[in-house]
Amino acid sequence: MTEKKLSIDRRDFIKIAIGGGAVAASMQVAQKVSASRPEGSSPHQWAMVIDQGKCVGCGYCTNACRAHNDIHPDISWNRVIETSEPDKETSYVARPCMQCEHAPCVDVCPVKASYYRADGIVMMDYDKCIGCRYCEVACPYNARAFNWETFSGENPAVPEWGVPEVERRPRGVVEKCSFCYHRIDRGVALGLTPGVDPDATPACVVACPVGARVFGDLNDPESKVSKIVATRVTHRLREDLGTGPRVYYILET
Amino acid sequence: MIKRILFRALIAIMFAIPFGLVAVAGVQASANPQEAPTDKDCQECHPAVVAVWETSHHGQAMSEPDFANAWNERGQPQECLPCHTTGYDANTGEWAADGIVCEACHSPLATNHPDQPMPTDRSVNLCGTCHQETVFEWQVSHHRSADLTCVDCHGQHSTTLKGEDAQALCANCHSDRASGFAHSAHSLEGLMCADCHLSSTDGEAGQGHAAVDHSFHVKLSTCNECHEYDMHEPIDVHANNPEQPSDPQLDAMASAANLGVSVDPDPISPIYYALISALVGMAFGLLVAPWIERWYHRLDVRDSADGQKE
Repeated sequence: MTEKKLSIDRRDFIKIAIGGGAVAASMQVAQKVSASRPEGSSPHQWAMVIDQGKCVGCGYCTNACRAHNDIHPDISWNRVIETSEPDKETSYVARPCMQCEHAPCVDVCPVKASYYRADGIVMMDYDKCIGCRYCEVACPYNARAFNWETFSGENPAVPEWGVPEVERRPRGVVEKCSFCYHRIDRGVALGLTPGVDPDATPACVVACPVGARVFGDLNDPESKVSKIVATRVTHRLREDLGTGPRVYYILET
Repeated sequence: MIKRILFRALIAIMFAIPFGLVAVAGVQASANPQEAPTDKDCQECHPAVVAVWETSHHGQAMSEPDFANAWNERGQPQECLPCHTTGYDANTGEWAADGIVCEACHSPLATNHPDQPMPTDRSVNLCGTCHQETVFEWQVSHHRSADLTCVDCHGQHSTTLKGEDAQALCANCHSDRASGFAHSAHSLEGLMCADCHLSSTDGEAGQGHAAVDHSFHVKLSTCNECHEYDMHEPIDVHANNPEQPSDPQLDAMASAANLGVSVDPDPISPIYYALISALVGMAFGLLVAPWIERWYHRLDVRDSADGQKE
């Protein structure tokens, strides 16, 4: 026995070492991937469609978002970007968080304060956030903002545009659009359908006066969002980056 | 032995009292589930909303002095109450609350609010129960065809316009027109979109039921408010313009103007004066006709008598 064991030569040893190393590395990678993936599963995959042909750039969505999420006036979770070209009509890009399937912000977070929910929403854990702002840099859509100071005092968007539904974030954390997950969760618990019942739908979608925003479940083939994605030409911002955004845009027709 | 029994009894009583109280409280709580919330309850959690609402037209629908005075002067007619109170019952003549309160739009009340959101009726039909004419006007507007409803421009709680001012609100969607308008003669005179597109329909703004036309159409009468004398007044447009080809009729009118003859259009044409005079004459004639007839008759009789005499 001992003779046999000793008979492992240098080549065999290297083979074993490399093989073992590869297994260990792949396990580590798998572990890392599974760590950033959500635990459990959800029957829903929330998504939004924004019709640029309808958007008039009024900014109601930004205001409603500021009120419902109690956001500092200097911060926009939901920006409307005006794009104009000579001899063309001005068009607007309303930009919430894209809720990416492969979110760079989640990948870079050193403390896992950014994480995926099972229904696809990219969440922020403000208690874990250490304010390193890696995610803010990593986000290709500039969807994140840093709280430089404590937001105290009145919110100018309240009550004209809505009533705060979530707590204010403390100073020193990064925040971003959450697809109004609190409205979705409350609505689903009450048996409402997000995207159909206004009480279960993100505030920006409800506030849009021209109906340029549509919200719904991609897993439900009957939802408006699924139908639009299936039948109309849609595009997503910076698809080349492979982030897999959950916000679809309809170009002007 | 007796001492011990007494001691145990005392302990038992000491336990019994708080338990009993808890039970009583529990039974009472279950017997009175949750009472319907009132405006005060709303204010507890939504002070900002209630504060805005209190100063709004809805909040002051009953207490506003202009209404209160007029209503009392007329002997408190019931016809006013369906729209100036909430929950008015025509059969009993009673109402739930003065003014248009939270429940007018947020009902039926969700008993387990805030876990359950309060129902919110944002529909045009609800607004239209009182603002009937406004909704009728809106129904023929382009805003209706674009699915823009009341709450897209009006704050639900403040009842005032959303945004900084009316001009900014219009410019939200009509940005192309608003930017061009800024250089127009109307804009330089200080006019805004709403001055022509939301003309007053009934009396002075701010007085009772005075409203603005929500069809957003500009009527000829709106133009005439300022341009009454510019309309169909060719003399000002053409006569003094040397580049315009000469027109004999215009020249005649121009010379009439030079002679000091007023060419301002008369409010009533002379033909109408003649017609009115004729009518007055006819009426006078009818009145005096019997006397004239009698006089004529007498003359006739006298003539014939004279003739007989002769």
